[in-house]
This record gives sequence, C-alpha cells and structure tokens, in this order.
Amino acid sequence: MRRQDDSGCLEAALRHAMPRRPAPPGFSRRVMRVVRSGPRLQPPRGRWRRLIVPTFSTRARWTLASGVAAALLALTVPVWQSRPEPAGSALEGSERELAEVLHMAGLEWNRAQEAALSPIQENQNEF
Amino acid sequence: MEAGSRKLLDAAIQDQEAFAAIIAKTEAMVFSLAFTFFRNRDIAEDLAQDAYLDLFRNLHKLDSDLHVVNWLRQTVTRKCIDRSRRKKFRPHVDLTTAPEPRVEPVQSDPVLARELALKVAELPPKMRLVVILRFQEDLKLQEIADALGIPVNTAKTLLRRGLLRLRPKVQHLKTEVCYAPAGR
Repeated sequence: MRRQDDSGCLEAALRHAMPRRPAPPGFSRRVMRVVRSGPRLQPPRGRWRRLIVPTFSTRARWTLASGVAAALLALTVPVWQSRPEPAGSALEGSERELAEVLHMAGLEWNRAQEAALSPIQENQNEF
Repeated sequence: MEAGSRKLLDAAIQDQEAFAAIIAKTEAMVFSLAFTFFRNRDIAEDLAQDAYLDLFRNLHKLDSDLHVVNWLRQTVTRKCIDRSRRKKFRPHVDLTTAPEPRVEPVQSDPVLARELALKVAELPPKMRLVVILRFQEDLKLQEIADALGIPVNTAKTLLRRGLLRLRPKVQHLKTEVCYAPAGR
C-alpha cells in the first residue's frame, strides 16, 4: 500500500516536472520560411550555419568551399615540392657505407674460407 | 485532431501556407518532447525544425490528421535517439530561460520538480523517452511502443525501471506534499 502511494506520488510529481512547453516565439515563422525556400533545403543548424545559410546560396557555398580548397592546394603543393631533402641524401650516404661494409665483410669471409680450406686440401693431397 | 479527419492534411498538401496550421497545432508537443529529452533550447528547436521539414516532404504519404501527429511523435523520438547516439550529450537544465509551463497551477514543490527533471535527463535515451511519452504526452504503453518501434513488454520494462530509478529521489526529498494524480 505504501509502495502504491509512493508510485502515485511519483507519477504525479513527474507529470508536474515535465509539462508541455510552448515552442519558442517565431518558431512556426522560421519553419515556414525554410519550407517556402524549398523543401530540399536542409534547415540551418547551429549559430554559424544559421548565419551562413541564409547569406549564401547552395551554389555559392560550394563555389566558396572549392575556391578555398584550390587556394590551399596552390599554396601547399609548391612549398612541398621546393622543400630540401636532407633525409634523402643522408640515406644515400648511409646506403653507400652499408654497401662498402658488406663488400668488406664478403672479402673477409672469402679470405677466411680460403684459409680454412687450404689445410684440408693439403691433407687430402697427402692421401 | 480528429481520428479520421483529413482537413488539415489536405489543406497542407494543396496549399503550402496551410502547413502553418499543422505547425501551430503540434509545435508544443514536438518542441516539448525534444526539450525535455535534451534540456537544451537550441537543440530542441533544431530537431523540431528538422521534424517539420521531414513532415513537409512526406505529407503525401500520410492518411489523416491523427496520422500526422503520430508520425511527428515517432519522428521526433527517433531523431532524439539518433542525436543522442551521434554525440554524447550532457544534458543541462535551462530552467532560467525556459518559459513558464502551460499547465494549470497545482500544489507543487518546485525543488522536487527541478530535481526530477534533472534525474529524468540522466536516464538512458530509450528509458528517458518512455518516461517522457508516458508522463508528458500521457500515452498508453501500446502507443509508446508504436512510437519507439519496440515491443509493448519492452516499453513496460523500461518504464518500470525508469520509475525505480526515479523513486529514491522522491523518498530522499521526503515530500510532505503528495500531488493528487491528474487522472489523465
């Protein structure tokens, strides 16, 4: 019984805590403005979009965006192409060193092999 | 809106300007649902605007004025869930700027109402919507299930769990004033 009383109390309290609220003033006018401008137009969301969308048409916005993208490319590509490449030359130098080391190691290996094989061959010749 | 009537719907299909009448009839419901869910005026307004734009695009698919209301309710609830999934939203209570409630004054405890509003805003999205649809829109469980596209038993469970989570708040505040059930 106590629990039932509580739940009745809670439900009534919830009804009071969540009343229907009137929409903000001018809401229907704003919606109708978007409806009149064309149903395909996405409603502007957020403060910046609310400013930009009514100011520029869709085509103008795309033109603006592609212009900005082209300008960014025009700036970044030459800078990227003209930058010095110290890393590349350093790599070449290290490659050359590595090749020399490998060559020297190969020579040493051959010399060691010859030295190791020569007494065996001498023994074989004796038999 | 009457069950079988198509007066508003037909008028809106024929004349774009008549769409304003549908907005006028339903804007409080649409805005309140979104506002109680997010506790944020801007988001609620954006969402309501989106819902009306969708409605305008889909007017020809609807059967009656009542269908318009149900469709709007369903669309707003889905948009609420989508939006809450897209961006983890931390609800905040904007009670200072919120307009005064439309309901008739009842013997009430404003502290409890505020605390409950905050508690409701902390519920998981689907549970929150079930509670809002039940106590703000006064829908039956079947209608809630239809609006959310879930089985009735799931709606029932969500409502029960939601109330269980909210109950300690009422007990904690030890309200001396118990609201008389509105009988809706």
